[in-house]
Order: sequence, then C-alpha cells, then structure tokens
Amino acid sequence: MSDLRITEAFLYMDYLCFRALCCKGPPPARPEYDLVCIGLTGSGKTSLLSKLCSESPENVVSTTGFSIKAVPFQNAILNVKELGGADNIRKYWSRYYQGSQGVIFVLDSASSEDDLETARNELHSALQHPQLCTLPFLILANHQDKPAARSVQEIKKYFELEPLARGKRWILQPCSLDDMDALKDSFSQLINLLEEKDHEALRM
Amino acid sequence: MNEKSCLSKHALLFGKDGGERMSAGYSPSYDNDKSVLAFRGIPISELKNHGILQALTTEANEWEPRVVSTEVVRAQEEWEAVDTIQPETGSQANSEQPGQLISFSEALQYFQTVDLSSFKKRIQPTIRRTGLAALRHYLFGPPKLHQGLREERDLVLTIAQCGLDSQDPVHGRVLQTIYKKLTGSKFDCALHGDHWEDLGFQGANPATDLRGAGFLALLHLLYLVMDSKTLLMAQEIFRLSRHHIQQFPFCLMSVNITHIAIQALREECLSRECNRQQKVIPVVNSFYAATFLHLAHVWRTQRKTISDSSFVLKDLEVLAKKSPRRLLKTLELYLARVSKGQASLLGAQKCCGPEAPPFKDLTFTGKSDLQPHSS
Repeated sequence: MSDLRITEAFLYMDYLCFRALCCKGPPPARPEYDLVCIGLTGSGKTSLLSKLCSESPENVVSTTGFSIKAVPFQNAILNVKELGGADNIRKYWSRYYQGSQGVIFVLDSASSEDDLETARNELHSALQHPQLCTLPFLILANHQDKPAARSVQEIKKYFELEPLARGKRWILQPCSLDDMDALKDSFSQLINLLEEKDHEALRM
Repeated sequence: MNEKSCLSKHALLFGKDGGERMSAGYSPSYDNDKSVLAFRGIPISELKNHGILQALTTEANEWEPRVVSTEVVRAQEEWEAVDTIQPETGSQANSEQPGQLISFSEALQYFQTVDLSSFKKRIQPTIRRTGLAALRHYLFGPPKLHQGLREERDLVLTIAQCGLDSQDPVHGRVLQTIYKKLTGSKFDCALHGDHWEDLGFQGANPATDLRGAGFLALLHLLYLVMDSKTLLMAQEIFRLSRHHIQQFPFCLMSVNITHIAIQALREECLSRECNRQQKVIPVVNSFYAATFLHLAHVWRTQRKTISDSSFVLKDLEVLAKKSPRRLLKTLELYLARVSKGQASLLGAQKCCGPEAPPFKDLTFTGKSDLQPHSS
C-alpha cells in the first residue's frame, strides 16, 4: 500500500514538474480599468507613470495633448490616459473624462502658493464634475523628496479633502520618484476600490 | 549784438523776410518778457491774418536758412546723436546691447567656450543594449560614429542637459531672437510673461517646457529662424499652429522634435549620415528641421488636432529613426523649391493615403511607372 502511495507521489511530482516546465500557459486575464491622470504641468504625472512601467523617467518631455499608457500590476492592468497640465490644455480636460473608471490626481507638494491654489481649484472642479464625481480618486502628493514639500496633513487641510470629498472614495498618498514601493501600495489600494465598484455594478 | 542774434534766429524760423517784419511789428527779444507775452496772446483765428504766416505761405518756395546760429547747429547735432528709441519693458538691463539678434553660430560658439563639465557628466552618449538586442545591433545595426566626431556628439548631448539660465545674457538673447523672428516684433520682450504662450510655450516661463531637451531645443529653434530658407518654413508652420481648429503649441511641439532628434542621435540612427558629411551639428539641425517639416505636412494633410498629437509624435519618432535619409532628402527638395520662390508646399505635394509613404514621388527610384505622377 505504501508503494502505491509513493508511486502516486512520484507521479504527482512529475506532473508538477511537467507543468512547471512546459505548461506555463497564458496567465489568467487580468481585469483592465480605464483611468484618467490629471494635474498641473510639472507635477510629475509622466515621470511617475514611466517609472511604474519600468521606463526611465529622465528623458521625459512635457506632455503635448495627452498620452495613453498601459500600466501593468499583478492583479490588474490600468490604461491611464494622461493629460497635459498646461493652462491652455486644462480647459480640454473634460473632453477626455468619458469612460473613465477612476481618477489619479498628481500634485507637486513643493510648489508655490499660487500653484497649489490652482491645483486645489482643479481638484475641486474634478471632484464635482458630473462624469467623475462617483469615481474613486487617488491623490498623489508628489515631490516629497524636496525640502519645501508640505506634509500630508497640511495638504489634506489645504485641499479641504475631508469636507469636500465626503461620501466619495479617495486615497491621499505622499510619494516621490525615489519611493516606488509606497507608490505601488497606493495603486493596489486604488485597484481594490475599482474592483469593489465593479462588483457593486455587477450586483446591481 | 544780442538782438541781432535773436533776430537771426527768427530769420531761420520765419523766412528770409520775416525777421524784418518781426522787427518792424514786434521785438521778440528774449530779454523782454512783455513782447513774448504779447506774441502768445494772439488767438489762433487771428493768425491767418498774421503777417508772418502770410509771409511763410507765400515764400515757401524760397525758403532758405540763410543764417544758421550755433545753438541751432548744436540742437541738430544732439538730435542726430539720439539712437532709435527702445522702450523699457522691465526686462533686466544688460551691459551688452539687449536688442541685438544673435546668430546660431555665435550661440554655438558660446557653448563651445563656456564650462559645461557639470552637465557633461550626466550625458548618456549611446543606448545600452543587452542580450539579443545587443547582438543584433552589433551584426546588423548602423555603423559606429567616427572617433573624431564623438566630441561634437557629446557637445550636442551636453547642451541638451543645460537648462535655461535667466541671468545669462546669451540665453536671454536667444529667446529674444526667437520671439522677434517668429512674431516680427522689433522690440525686446520680457523674459517672463504671457506672451510666451503666443509662441506655444505652456506658460509664462519658457524654462519649464524644456524638460527632456534642455537648451538644445532653443538652439534648434534659433537655427530654424535665423536661416533665411528655413525661416519661411518656420513661419508657415507657426501659422498652421494658430489655425482655429488644428492649432497646436508650436514651441512645445518643437521641443518634442528636438527630443526625437536627441534619441535618434543616441541610438546611432544618424551616424551614417554624420560619417558621410563628417559633421554632427549640421546633420542634427537638418534632421530636426526635416522632422518638423514632416510633422507639419502630416498635420495639415491628415487634418490632425491636438488630441491626436501623441499618436502623431509616436509615429513620427518611428519613421524618423527608421529612415532619416529620406526625411533629409525631402527637406533638401523643399528648401530648393523655396529658394526658387515657389509657393507654400506644406499641402501642395500629392499626398497618397496614410498607408503609402507620402513622399514616394520625390525619391529618385527611376521607376518608369512613377514618371506620370511626377509633375
């Protein structure tokens, strides 16, 4: 009897080896989500997304118009539509909101008071925009490595996130280009929020 | 003596006989205030009856400054010594002439002489390839750049690492030259301000848009506007960039194209051409101009708008790296036609559909079936 068990065990191990070596097969399809990434020019949108895609963020040019990047994660693929942040392009942002399932807002924590105010106004209009108001928001307080960077508490207070974003799902994450782990963590949280929303939609 | 000099002054002002008439009716001695007041008190309607004016109108043809006093001569000299007026616009006053246009070679010479060692450390002259890609590149890739040209290539890449320094007068002159040539303005503009958005920068400070291409982007723009043939092309593209539907930011697009040129140089796509011409900087400049021309052509003929910009730029990058020689040839032909005075060519070429290469007619393939197409 034990012989049978041993042969079974060996057969099973062979089978596992066989699977491991040859039958890698296509991975199960990861869900894809369409996101839109907004923020003022120079906040670091293109650099962050490039780094997440394992591209070098050093040769990044100012985004003209918009660009689309597919950012792969372990449990999902995010198709991020990244919009240029200059004054004359910001008025066109709302044209690209259609079909988004989530929003990434990047701000420069070390920018001047004026720029921070402009960023606040843009975030508020995005939070209140009819096509975006029900979507989860990931707010990245970038450039935390600079000495003039404001802390998370200050940003939360200045941007009035608690009163304004009440009832909505949002994540505020301090980040910088040096710290990719924290960034990936926040994206995992965002993906969880997106999955929840998906399940809700299915249930309904 | 005093009175005579006064009289002679007035002789100059009021005609050859006026002085005498004046002395007859009035005594415009500057010592005598009363007479001056009396002179001033005449209402304008009376002036037509005024003897002196009558004298002026009748004797206009015989006008001749008979006696020229020293004061007047001095005044004339002072007037001629005044330079053309340059309004103060609040920009930093430099000791060099701020209004003077700077040529491309002068700007380049400046960069060749200034110390760029801190930037030079950061450059990456070639792409590092690994594994199969490296083998493929070694066997089938383009030839390596000649030893003697590597210094020039490194200079180009170093300039691309430099940012815009608002304190440096040469940097300021480059910006002013670009502004003046594109807009046709004769006066200097401020180094910060909303007028940069007219040129297609993203905001009031052009320095923020130079990411990825550095000062090389401005040098390329300078090259484009200072060469008389490419200036016409630049102005045409600038007009296209301000089209009410197809608008795009001109300078920002130019920065993107400089970025493509830098990548092409790094990936050794331009090495063959550089080795052939034994130069690097003129080849990179021409490549930049050729790529910009192609962009403008595609933009106009395929009716692109700002929302298509990233796709257009991606396609442009692929094409430019794959066949730089074809682009350069097209630019040569275009400039040849411009110098002959033929009109705008951005839309005049027979554009085939987006599938076929747009400049098929222009390549010297010698195939007989192409001949009916060529005009």
